[in-house]
Amino acid sequence: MSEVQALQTVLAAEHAAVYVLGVLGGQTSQSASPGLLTSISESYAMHRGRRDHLTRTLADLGAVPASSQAAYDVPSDVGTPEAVTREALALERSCATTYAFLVGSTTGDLRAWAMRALQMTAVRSLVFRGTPEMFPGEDEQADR
Amino acid sequence: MTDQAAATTRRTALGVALGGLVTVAGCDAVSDLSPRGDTSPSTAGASPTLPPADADAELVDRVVRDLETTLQAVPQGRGLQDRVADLRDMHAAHRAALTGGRDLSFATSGTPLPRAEALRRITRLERAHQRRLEAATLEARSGSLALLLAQMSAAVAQRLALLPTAREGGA
Repeated sequence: MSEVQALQTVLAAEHAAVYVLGVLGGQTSQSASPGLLTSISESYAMHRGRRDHLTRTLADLGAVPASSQAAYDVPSDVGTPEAVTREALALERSCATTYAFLVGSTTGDLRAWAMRALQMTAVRSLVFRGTPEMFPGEDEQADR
Repeated sequence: MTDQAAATTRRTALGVALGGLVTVAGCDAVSDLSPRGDTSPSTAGASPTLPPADADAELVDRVVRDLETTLQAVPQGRGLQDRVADLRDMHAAHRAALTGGRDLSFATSGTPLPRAEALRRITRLERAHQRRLEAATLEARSGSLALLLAQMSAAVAQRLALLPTAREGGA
């Protein structure tokens, strides 16, 4: 897979992440769960920033950045803070896997950026009650 | 965008939207790039920048030596036994991944220090190790090795994020 294709894959994932985090934020009460809403909002801003960076990078490389879908499938049971936290954790871990993939598919500055994104996403997962992993971003379904 | 990219885009998005269901093209590619899959001819053939077989051997040796040196220098501190044990397990898992070894034990003596001083030293040692892992990630010729080294760096980052500061620990 070329670097551009890898970047397009990650951009598509970030489009979805931004969408899902928006939904999760909408399901979170500012009065009842202010800490969780802050965490969701911070994650939203981080993923939106990465989405925009990926879009610019692809354009700079002469590619047409992947556009977002009109809507994405989101879990239906996100009506409680626990469910929102669980889905946010799953999202961060899924994105970590995507960034690990990008590290392995790129070189130079792109690899450095993907490496930092992986680190930040791995640390971000701790905010949503994640626990430290031996290999953050590991594909849990891979046969390793 | 190519047809393939368009197809993978939708699957990737769904994978993220469903929260951790790793059925996306990117994550499929991750398994293709699994560091422990390097011996597979099909996997090797899929590598976009296939280096000579031993191109990264010196780098791997250097990283293994560094993580062993780092852990040997990690001190013990009152109330830090669990954190030190977690670091030991992490480094052992990382060494096993790099070497293909099965021995997960890691003998450490751990000089006892006051808690606050031990925390400062652990933080300094692990941050330095993390920086060297980052440099090694960028240096790796193999994409699969770079992926593994970046994951190791992220694992250290997670533990550093959870370490109490020396001020908290020494209070």
